[in-house]
Amino acid sequence: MITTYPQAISGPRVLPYLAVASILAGAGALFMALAWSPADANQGDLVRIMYVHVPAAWLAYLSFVVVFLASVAWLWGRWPLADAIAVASAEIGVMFTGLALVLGSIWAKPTWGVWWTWEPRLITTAVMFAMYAGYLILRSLSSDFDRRATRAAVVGAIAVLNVPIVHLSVTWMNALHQLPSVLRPGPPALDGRMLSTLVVCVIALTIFYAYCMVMRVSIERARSPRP
Amino acid sequence: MSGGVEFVVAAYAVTAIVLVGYLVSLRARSR
Repeated sequence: MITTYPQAISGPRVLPYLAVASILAGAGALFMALAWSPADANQGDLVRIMYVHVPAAWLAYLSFVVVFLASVAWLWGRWPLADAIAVASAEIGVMFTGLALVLGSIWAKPTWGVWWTWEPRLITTAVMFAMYAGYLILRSLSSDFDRRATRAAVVGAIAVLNVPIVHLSVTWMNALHQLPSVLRPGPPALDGRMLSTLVVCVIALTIFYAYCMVMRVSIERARSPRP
Repeated sequence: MSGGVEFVVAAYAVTAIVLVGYLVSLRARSR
């Protein structure tokens, strides 16, 4: 079946609200990250890279958990919307994973002295990036909607194992990357203002994710051969 | 700001380029 893009895809009504919320939250996050939050006692202003690096990594986690849930939903009920959500979230997750890797590299150079080193967190994150990039490539191998969606869903349901592996890799092996500071047992090991800035940055990026998801899902639904 | 500002600037510039670039790609694909 030939699928074509429509001339125009009318965006869902929620998009303008998400756009405004994203801009406002982004502006607030930027102010807190670059001006309001204090410099670190050891790293100085380099710690400000944390406010983009960590949210990018967390949004990658969220994206791939959504891929998992949507994949299970497709395998369970064969709902086309579930497949659209899975591919949308996978694409955005690959973007966030790539961004987290690049930002981590920029942070590593002045703090570790190298752009890249073969240590557990970096390797597992690179593997996660490659697996989800493979997921997107896999989707292009078949034009049959059901077959493509089912193959992708199986991969999407399994590949989520990457998320706990990446997150816990720093605790399993002798890692150069620092241990989790927030998502860990016990209270966060962060200054109060740094923690609140990080939370606002995560919220801002999550709203951005929601905006991208709504838009990407509507694109996928419009090009899909099934209603 | 203290030392390493160029790395901070690079990190935020890369973030802006990637996020805006992705938004532009979505806009282009939705037309």
